[in-house]
Amino acid sequence: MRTVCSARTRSGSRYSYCFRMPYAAVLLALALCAALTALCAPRAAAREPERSTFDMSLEELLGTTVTSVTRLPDRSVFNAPAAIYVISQEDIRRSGLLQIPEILRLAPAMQVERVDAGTWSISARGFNNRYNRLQRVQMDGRTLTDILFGGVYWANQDAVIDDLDRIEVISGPGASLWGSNAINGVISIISKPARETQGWLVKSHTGDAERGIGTIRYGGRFGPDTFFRLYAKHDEHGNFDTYAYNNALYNSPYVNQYTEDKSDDLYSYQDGYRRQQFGFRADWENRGADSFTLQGDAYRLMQGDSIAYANYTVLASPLGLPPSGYASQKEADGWNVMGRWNRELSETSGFKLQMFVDWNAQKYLNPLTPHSDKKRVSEIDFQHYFRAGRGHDILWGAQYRHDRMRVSTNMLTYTPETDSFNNETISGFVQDSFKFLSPEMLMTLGAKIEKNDFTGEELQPSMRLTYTPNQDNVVWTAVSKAVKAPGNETRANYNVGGANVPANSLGAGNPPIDMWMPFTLQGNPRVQEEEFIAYELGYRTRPRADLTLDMTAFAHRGHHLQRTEVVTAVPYVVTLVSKGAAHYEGFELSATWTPAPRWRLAAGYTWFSADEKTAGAMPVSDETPRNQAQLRSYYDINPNLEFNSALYYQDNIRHPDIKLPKSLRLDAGLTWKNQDRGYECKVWGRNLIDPKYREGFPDRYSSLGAAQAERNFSIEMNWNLP
Amino acid sequence: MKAGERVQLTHGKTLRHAALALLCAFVCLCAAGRALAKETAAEREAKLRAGFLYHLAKLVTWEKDRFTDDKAPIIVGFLGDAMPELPDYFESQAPSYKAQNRDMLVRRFKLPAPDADKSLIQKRIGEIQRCHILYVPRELERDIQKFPDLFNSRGALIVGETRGFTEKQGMIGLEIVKGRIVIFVNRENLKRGQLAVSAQFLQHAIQVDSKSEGAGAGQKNSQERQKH
Repeated sequence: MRTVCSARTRSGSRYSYCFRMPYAAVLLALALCAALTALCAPRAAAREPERSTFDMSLEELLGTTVTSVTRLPDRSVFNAPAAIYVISQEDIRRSGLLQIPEILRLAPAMQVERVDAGTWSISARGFNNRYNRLQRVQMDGRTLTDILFGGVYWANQDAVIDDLDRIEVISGPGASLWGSNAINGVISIISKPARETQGWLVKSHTGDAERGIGTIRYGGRFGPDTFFRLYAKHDEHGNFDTYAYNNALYNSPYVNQYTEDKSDDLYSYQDGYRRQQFGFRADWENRGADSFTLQGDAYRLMQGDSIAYANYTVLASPLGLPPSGYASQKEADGWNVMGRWNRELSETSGFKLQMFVDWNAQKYLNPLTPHSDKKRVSEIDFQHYFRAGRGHDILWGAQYRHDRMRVSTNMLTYTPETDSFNNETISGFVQDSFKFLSPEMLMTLGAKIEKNDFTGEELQPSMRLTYTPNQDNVVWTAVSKAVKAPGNETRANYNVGGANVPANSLGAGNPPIDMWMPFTLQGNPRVQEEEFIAYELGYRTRPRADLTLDMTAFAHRGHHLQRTEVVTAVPYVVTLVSKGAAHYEGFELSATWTPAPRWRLAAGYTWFSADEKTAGAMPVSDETPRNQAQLRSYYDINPNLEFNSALYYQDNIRHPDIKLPKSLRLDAGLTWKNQDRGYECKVWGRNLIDPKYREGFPDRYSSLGAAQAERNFSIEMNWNLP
Repeated sequence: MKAGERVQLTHGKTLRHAALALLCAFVCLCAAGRALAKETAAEREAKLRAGFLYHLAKLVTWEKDRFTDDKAPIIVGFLGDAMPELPDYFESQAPSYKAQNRDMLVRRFKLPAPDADKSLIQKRIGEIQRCHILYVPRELERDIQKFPDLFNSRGALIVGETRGFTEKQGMIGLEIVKGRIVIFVNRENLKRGQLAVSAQFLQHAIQVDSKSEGAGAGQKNSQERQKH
């Protein structure tokens, strides 16, 4: 890969933060695409006669076809100076997907890898692995990030899928608004107001992968302005098949004996999960300019863990211990409650005050490394927007967050040694949007300052410029700085009983083979904040009423990235240091096209390239494919019958230790619905091309192999009753 | 020069390169965007709606006292800025056309804040009520219900974009159904506004009735709110 300029570190290793040819090529390609479209568009327009509609008769006007252009709500998205993709409720319904992480596949820039039945690696723009910490995920404004490892336990997160309004996926930094963690993206899951979910919903789903999902929800009202809903949900997800790599250890007879074990009993599963959840939401609306929301959920989860299962299997077998799915089981409980008050002060001003408490406890029952933790997050958030001076739209806010965690384990210790943590984060942000140079140019300047208990104050500024020549064309560019502050995960010492240590991690003087040995990840309180600078350029256009294109080119530079450094090779002890550096860039494209009134297509493509300067525990590109594409088709055979399908392509993954081949996944489903009577029936087939489909792997060090989804079929019945 | 300093310098140079590349590409894209700005879906929709409004201006009969004299213009009002292309296009065409031998004048309005000063609200509503045709985009169909006094005036033809609005306070609804504009008419509300629409127009329209939350509902809700 050619580099325009470069530098050398003190240690002499060659690396650069420099602007490289691929990025220039991407920018050029983007500009050329736009120029070509521009050249073609006037010709197409010129063919249409320029005739005033005032001269048309009523009959002519009535006979003219027109596409309704979604306006204010969508316009704000269309004009947004960020790479944003909205997964609508219609997209969710037509996809037939029933788990939030699976639904995120619909966003073309997101890379979603299902590691096993209940574990996902989800990320935009690199760093994809199950421990990804560089992304903010929130549901109705409540953050879902785990305060111990900084990522998301996806199996713990659920909702009534029909009650979701939309999922907004922003790829790229959102730190000036959302703060730390919003480095590579922000996923915002937004549920419908209770007003829109009135009546009964009964939903049942069964299949050979997602064994059984049952949901019941009732929405009602107290008086003219107060609406509520209550729901309960039960899920059972079966095991994935296990894929063992061609390795002497993996091919050993006792390991295979257990990896081939695949019981239908959920209590002895390896990676399946069972979950119950119930919750409520109440909205008070139209009381003058005020609206109030109170909502909450509680859940219980029993989940198998493929890593724990692998570790137990490898260690227990030589000792003559029996195989046990129980050994890999995790139990989790949690609840959350949130209140929100919105007030419109005028057409151009208002504020929002939001508070939530989220509590959860997890217990790992693996007899070799049992541990448990209890966590509580409390947050209060205030935002105020108003118009000041000549067209300055100001948004500012302040946030206070308190994290509390207690751990009980013989596997996990902390430096300094403690079993209880109390962390506070205080932050404030301000953002000003104003016309710049011309009425079509909008400049948005923003900054967030955050004070945390680990690194003190962090400033995260951003500058965004939007050019909107008309409603159907938007060009935007942004330069942002984002910071990932270290969390409790950098102070933890993980004493894992055994792990598969790749040969290339052992260094010189050791045998060139993978070895199974005691493994410790040593915490380091001196770990610094990770810094990122992102450059983005985007173009959205609606060249025709039935076609929308969205293109984004990006380049990120990361400094002080966390990486592991070997302390001792045998036993294998590594520690975290802030010596990583990387730059990565890419191109994201999404399009929607309606070739016929009954047929809609959505497509997406992502190209990603990373140049890592240092190897480490959180490599940028380990599990991120260079090319990724998808094509979805929504076709209405008649008003009561739909045929929906989706094709997902993922390039091969060049992990230093494990290679994953290219994959192509096809899902297809028929939906029969009767809107008058409120019921629908869906039949879906997934992974139709390949009988066994593998798209991720559990862990770099302790994986026995990868789980793989099998071709599966499901049927779903929904009833909506008033 | 120490190696560390060199890294810093190169980093600065990189930033300048990146910024320059971004600027160049941004300018290219802006130029392309401007070239693309010939006609868009929103503009096409706006042109079509403007054509219907022009026909309404020709085919609605207002009482004589709604005009100061025989040459007074027909005032066409547009609420909000959800679809700026519509008043823009109407304004660009209006000077070349006449309706009922009168000029047409475009006015743009914003709804007052519900908790604004009462005198300010009344003043703004008074201005809006002077329109002969008031166009309410669907984004504001709900908000406008907070001002029931707006519907009490006679002689203002209220045109919305959905059937639901026509069943409440609207008189004419221009809704896009399966890619074409369908006209809905609420004769009860027309009668309340003391307006008559030519049969030439009505023959293309679907008649709807006021629902229980109809014309008087806004006023009733307002009274309830005042009680609270």
